[in-house]
Amino acid sequence: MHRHDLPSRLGALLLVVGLVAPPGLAHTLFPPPALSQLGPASPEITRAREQIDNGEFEEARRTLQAGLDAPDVTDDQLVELYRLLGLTALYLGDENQAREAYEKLLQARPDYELPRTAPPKLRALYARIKDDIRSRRVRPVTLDVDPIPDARGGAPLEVVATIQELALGARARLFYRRAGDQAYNSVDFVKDRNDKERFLAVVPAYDVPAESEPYEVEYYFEVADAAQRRLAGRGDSFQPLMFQVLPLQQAAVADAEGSSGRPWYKSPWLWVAVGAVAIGGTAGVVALSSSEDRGRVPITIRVDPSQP
Amino acid sequence: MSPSSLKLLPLAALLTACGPESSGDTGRFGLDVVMSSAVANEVHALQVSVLTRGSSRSCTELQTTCLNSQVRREDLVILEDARGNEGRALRFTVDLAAMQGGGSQSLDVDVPVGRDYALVIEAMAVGSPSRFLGSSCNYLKVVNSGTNAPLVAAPLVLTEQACDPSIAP
Repeated sequence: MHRHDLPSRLGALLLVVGLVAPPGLAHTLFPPPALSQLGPASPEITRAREQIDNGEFEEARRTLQAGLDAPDVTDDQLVELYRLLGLTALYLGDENQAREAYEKLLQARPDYELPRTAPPKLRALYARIKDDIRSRRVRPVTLDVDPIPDARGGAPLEVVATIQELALGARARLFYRRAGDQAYNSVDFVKDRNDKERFLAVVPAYDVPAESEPYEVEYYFEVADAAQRRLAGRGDSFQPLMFQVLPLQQAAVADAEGSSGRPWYKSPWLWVAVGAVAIGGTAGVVALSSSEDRGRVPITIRVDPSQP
Repeated sequence: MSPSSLKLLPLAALLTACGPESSGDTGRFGLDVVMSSAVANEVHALQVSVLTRGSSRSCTELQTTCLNSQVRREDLVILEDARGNEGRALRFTVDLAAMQGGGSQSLDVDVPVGRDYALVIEAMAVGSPSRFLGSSCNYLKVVNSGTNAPLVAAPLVLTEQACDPSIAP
């Protein structure tokens, strides 16, 4: 017998036992997953799952809060953290926290349901919370972005937007196509690490090449939730906005100005400019370090004896 | 003077223009806040905070209770007082003697130059913890380093609430 025959025979035996065993035995051989055993992992998620399975709900709640505060949490991990937090809060009878957690979870997964194995009491509570959330008004997403100005081709095109109240699981995207094309390409707006409401989208250079003739690019912005419902936007696929990619010649003229015949690095104006930038930069750094750009608001307080 | 020297004149003029702004060009504008007698009888300190995205806020709602329970910490800009103290909220002890005699008290708050702010002044009563007596919320469309238009501030009336308005620096 070959050595690797043993595992396969054991597997076959288990399968046969599983198939012929009575339902009760099958249940113990293949137990249902615990309530917490679903979704992506992180150290906090793993620990919280163990704590939930052990009935340590207060500890689990603290672990999950720490998980939510951790940097670089992915959307999938956030969903899982909120799912577990909602479950923990239900077990603890904290309906308010459960409602908050499930509200965030349902923004990302509108069709989320508790597992069928959840106790009926929890399921009833969850159903009530879900009804409450659905009947409540959701704060609207706001998208603040300037139209894209005419651009020089052959370089990545960066677009900055300010997005507020972006629901978990929602995506903000810039759709674009060369005028005359049928299909749109898209790039996602990515959240700035230092500013939660600042987002950046970059159109790759190869999608806006520099050419000898100018051409137009149609585009629109859209924020859509996990179910692809449009939450906010500027322009749309039927009425897109437009910017022009400038021709090579026009860009080259700008580059060529000031360099008549001799190499650019031999121009005395270049070195004068370098010197000026160095002096100005130093002065700017000194000015910035010595005083911030602030305006003073003097406030005068006085008492009005006629007002009770 | 040679032609090449003439070419350098604009640059020289540009460089000599560098330097600190004149001290008279600071961004000052008046915010005249009237306090009711009921507040003045109990007030111990005033706490000043400035919120970003002022136009999206409802001053009427913000004035109902403690600001710290209605906004996130990151919504508050860093302020600086005349002594150089910095914080997301600045606290000033009230000189009641001066005000009760018909005088006034001035508070200087340095705000980062920007647009679309809301400035909130909360009246606090002494105690441990402090008590909220009322607040005055005012929209600041722009704060710049130039001359700013005067503003009419919302009066500070008694809307006492059982909350501690303290905001950590």
